[in-house]
Amino acid sequence: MTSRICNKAVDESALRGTAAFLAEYASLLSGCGATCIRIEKNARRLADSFGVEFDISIMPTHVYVSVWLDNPAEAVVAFRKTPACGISFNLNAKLSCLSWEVSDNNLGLTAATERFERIRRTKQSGKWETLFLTGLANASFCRLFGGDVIAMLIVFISTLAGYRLKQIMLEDKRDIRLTFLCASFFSAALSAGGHIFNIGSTPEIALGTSVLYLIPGVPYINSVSDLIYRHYLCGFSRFLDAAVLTVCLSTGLCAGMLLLGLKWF
Amino acid sequence: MNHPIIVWCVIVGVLLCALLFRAVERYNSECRHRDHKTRHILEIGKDKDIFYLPGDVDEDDDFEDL
Repeated sequence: MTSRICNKAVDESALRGTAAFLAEYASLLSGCGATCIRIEKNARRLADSFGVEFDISIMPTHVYVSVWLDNPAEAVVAFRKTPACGISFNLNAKLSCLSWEVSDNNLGLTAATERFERIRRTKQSGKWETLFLTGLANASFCRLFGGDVIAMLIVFISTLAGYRLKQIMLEDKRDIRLTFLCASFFSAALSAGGHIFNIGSTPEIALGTSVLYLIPGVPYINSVSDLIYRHYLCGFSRFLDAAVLTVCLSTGLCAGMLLLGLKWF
Repeated sequence: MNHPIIVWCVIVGVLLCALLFRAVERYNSECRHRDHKTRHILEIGKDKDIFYLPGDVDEDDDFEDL
């Protein structure tokens, strides 16, 4: 009788550890911009290799994980808040690799937790490199839309300035909507220089493409994926988040144009 | 200068000031972390702090005894 109680206690303790790990894993994956279907598949793969039954509920800001052995009535539930770590494809890929590694090599919970902590400490890509590459990418967008070299240069400079402002405001923990509004306003105002000083032959393309780096593309794509796989709450939440940011950047763009007295169309 | 040019210059000036202010603030905080004291970009000091030639006479030096 005593040994059965002891075994039960050990089982429950192990289940608690597994549930906590899976909740941590799923919440980090959600925070770094993974779709709900990916979170569900990866976490299920981990649960299968740990030999436990598993269910997950992904909410816009939280993740609930329930784990049990034989009887679902004795399930252990863990829930974690989604960390605001920002979209990171690197983290996303590493976490997916971890689930395959655990599954293929039959790693235990301790080894998996150790590797997970190592991944969690992964440094984000350098901000200066990101700044420079964002500028280049947006200048390339300008070229794709038919902008000339002068327009590309204007877009590159205005993107550098706007993106740096965005980095500074996010470092200072400013509201993300205000950040998008300010970044788009200053980028639009800077790129309007082509119009005001009559530089280049395509100043309107420079103005139009100067705020494209702010479009929240990943949340839009994720929201469609979530809707397809019937994660409606997450899908709508992500869509609304992205729509609000788009409204903010449009407001900044319009404010810049209005202030500089540019014709709308 | 017409109105849009003035507005454009003001906007660019504000943005430049913000970026410059941030850069100075960052430089100061880095210096503070390194030396545990604030390092000023502009400081007032004596020319002797920078230029010293061996043999220069300092008011604090006691040469009368020699």
